[in-house]
Amino acid sequence: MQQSVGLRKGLALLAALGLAFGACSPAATTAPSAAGTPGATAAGGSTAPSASTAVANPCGDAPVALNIWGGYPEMDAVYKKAGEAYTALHPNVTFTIFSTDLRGFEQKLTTALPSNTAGDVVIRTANFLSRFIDQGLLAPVPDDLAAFVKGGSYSDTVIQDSTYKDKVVGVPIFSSGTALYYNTDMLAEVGLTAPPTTMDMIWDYAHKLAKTDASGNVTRAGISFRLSGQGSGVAEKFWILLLQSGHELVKETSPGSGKWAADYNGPDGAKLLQIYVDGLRDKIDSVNIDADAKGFENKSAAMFAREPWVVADIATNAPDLVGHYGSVSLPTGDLGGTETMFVPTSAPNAACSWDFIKFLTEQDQQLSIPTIAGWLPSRNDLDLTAFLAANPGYEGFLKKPAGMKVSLTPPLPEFDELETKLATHLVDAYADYANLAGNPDKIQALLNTWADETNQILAKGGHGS
Amino acid sequence: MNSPLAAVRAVPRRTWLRYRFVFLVLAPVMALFIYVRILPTGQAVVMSFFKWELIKPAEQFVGLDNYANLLKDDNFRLAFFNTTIFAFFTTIISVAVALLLAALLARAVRGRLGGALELLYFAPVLVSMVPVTLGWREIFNYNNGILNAGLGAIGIGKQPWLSDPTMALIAVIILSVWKQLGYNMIILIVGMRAIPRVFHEAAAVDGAGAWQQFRHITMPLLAPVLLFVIVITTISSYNVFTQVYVLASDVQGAPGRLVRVIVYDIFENGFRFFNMGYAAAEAVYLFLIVIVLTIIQFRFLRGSDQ
Repeated sequence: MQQSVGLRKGLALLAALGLAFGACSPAATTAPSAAGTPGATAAGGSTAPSASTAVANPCGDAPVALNIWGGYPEMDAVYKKAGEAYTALHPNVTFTIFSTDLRGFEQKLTTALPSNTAGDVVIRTANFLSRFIDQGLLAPVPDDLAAFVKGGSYSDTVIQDSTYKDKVVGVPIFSSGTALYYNTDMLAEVGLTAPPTTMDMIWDYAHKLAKTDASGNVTRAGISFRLSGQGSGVAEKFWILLLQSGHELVKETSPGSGKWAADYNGPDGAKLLQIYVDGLRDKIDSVNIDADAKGFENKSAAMFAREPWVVADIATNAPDLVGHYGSVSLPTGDLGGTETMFVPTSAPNAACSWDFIKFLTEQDQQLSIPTIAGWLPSRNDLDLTAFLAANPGYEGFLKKPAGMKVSLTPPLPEFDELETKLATHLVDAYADYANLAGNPDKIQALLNTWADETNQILAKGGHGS
Repeated sequence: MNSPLAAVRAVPRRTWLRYRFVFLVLAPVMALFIYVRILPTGQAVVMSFFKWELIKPAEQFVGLDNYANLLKDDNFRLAFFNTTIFAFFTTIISVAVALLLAALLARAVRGRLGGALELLYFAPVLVSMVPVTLGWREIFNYNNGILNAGLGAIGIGKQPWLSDPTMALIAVIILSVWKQLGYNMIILIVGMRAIPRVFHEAAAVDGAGAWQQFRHITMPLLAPVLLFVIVITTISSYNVFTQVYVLASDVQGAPGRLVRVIVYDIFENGFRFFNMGYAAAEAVYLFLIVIVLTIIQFRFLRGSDQ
């Protein structure tokens, strides 16, 4: 009996250890009108190397299944359409398309690329994939495609965004930017007839457009900030507004030095954070109402800054808003972003994958991107005049003021970490707006503390100044 | 003789023979368990002593640096605080309410009504966490949520369930208690029904009331089951992740403040920032926390049992 009790104790301990080990183990948008498409033509630049008329059929004659991976589900229809057109030319090639939300996709890539289980074509920014390029997990771009990218069909910004360590590392497919969306009915309601074109006008409009109920709760944001959420988005939205004063989140201390430092803790950064917290105090926005695209679509926000996909999103989710809103470029700065196509080193049909990538750079495929998914094609030698006339919601993206400076995500592997940690601090500051509003000293002290952390992360990554 | 190993050594040969069939059928499962649980956990411990990137393993041996740096890391300290508060209240509330419901359903409410109520309370356990959390996100909505509407009906003002740091933590606790309650209740009901009725009948003959029977008969005899429920709930509470991730996920515009918890912090350090060594050290801390709490609970509740 004594032994049985002992045995039970032993088994109980094993069971408890097992439980504890268990605790620690790793655990469509509708397209806007396509009326502009037929009239769109290449307006210059170089010609894409022909995919369908390659010297030897790069996909051979045996059955080939290409798996296309991306982080933007609204692009699936673009890939599907292109795949069908490609299959018509190469009947032995079939396609499967995988996409999920961006963060989920990035996490999948981080495990799939090292384990050689990623798709045949993966689409993400060169900046995000730089670590994988360093590890040799992504194949170099063939010379003809690299030459095409640099040959005049893409803007310098897009080329720069597809370049890592002075080499073109991927082929651009679609690009991003930010514009200010505004509800024309709401502007008219307060006597405003034109969209704001300077930051001072934006803040002035925001105060005029905001609404509160009898209890003082905000019912309509004059401008919708990004005030909460996980990840780096909160800091990225802060950055876009910071760009209007000529500052970045981090800046290279001298061009080409490889040494970087926080750039958001100067007087302009402090002024911007002051505008945020004072704006929350003055009820031009609230942490408690729907925000961003959702807020704009359900009329909880009169203005907000976002990428071009929102145009297509509005057409699907808030069709009553079509014709009652517009977009205008932000005054002086924009944050560019280019989704770029890569072939993993382990891809079994690399030649065929690259040929399909060439196919996606062709004019017809590029022009289908805005009409199907709402994003803008990366090529800048396409004439989108007729498209814009049919889809005026894109005005803020296609009509930029002269001298507009486009910034890019720095090529720093640790950038996501410093941006995400800054986002966490910003969320805390917004929640604490009552203590920070009207208190520039506190704000400056906070910014300096955060900047210290940013600089430490840069130093840890070998990029500190 | 008190150590488990000494106890195992003292088991006579005939007892081992008697249990050999048990060991035989358990062997494949244990082998699989060792492969998918024990070995990765061991690897995580090794990893925690290195600067180890997700795609650039074993870059540099750093000794205990990862552990030391974690203690100075504001995010880790916040995550530890939030997780402990969450685990404490989720365990206390879900076990206490489950005990109350189990006491009612095990004895007082029987038949079809009892079965229907058991099913009703158990139903949340059957639904996966993501859709459940999405549903609760709408319930917690500041302006249009049913919870604030209900509070308004009784004269209480709107609460910022998803945007205020404290309220967001309370919201996650409410959601998690609702999800865990049914599981705890069913286990406790089974435990209560296993207590022979003769004890209660004898006590009733001696004049014991319902409360006295519950206090002096049900509770002592239920102690092993209660221990199991508390340990399981504590462990699962320290592993909270999906709720906080989904409540603050990057939806376009719904307010959602992130409640930083340990597993989320591990996930962020490992899979967003690629600092696997650092994340592994955090996982080891979590492992130790869970081990210590489990031992304390075993000692405390076993002690009270004896």
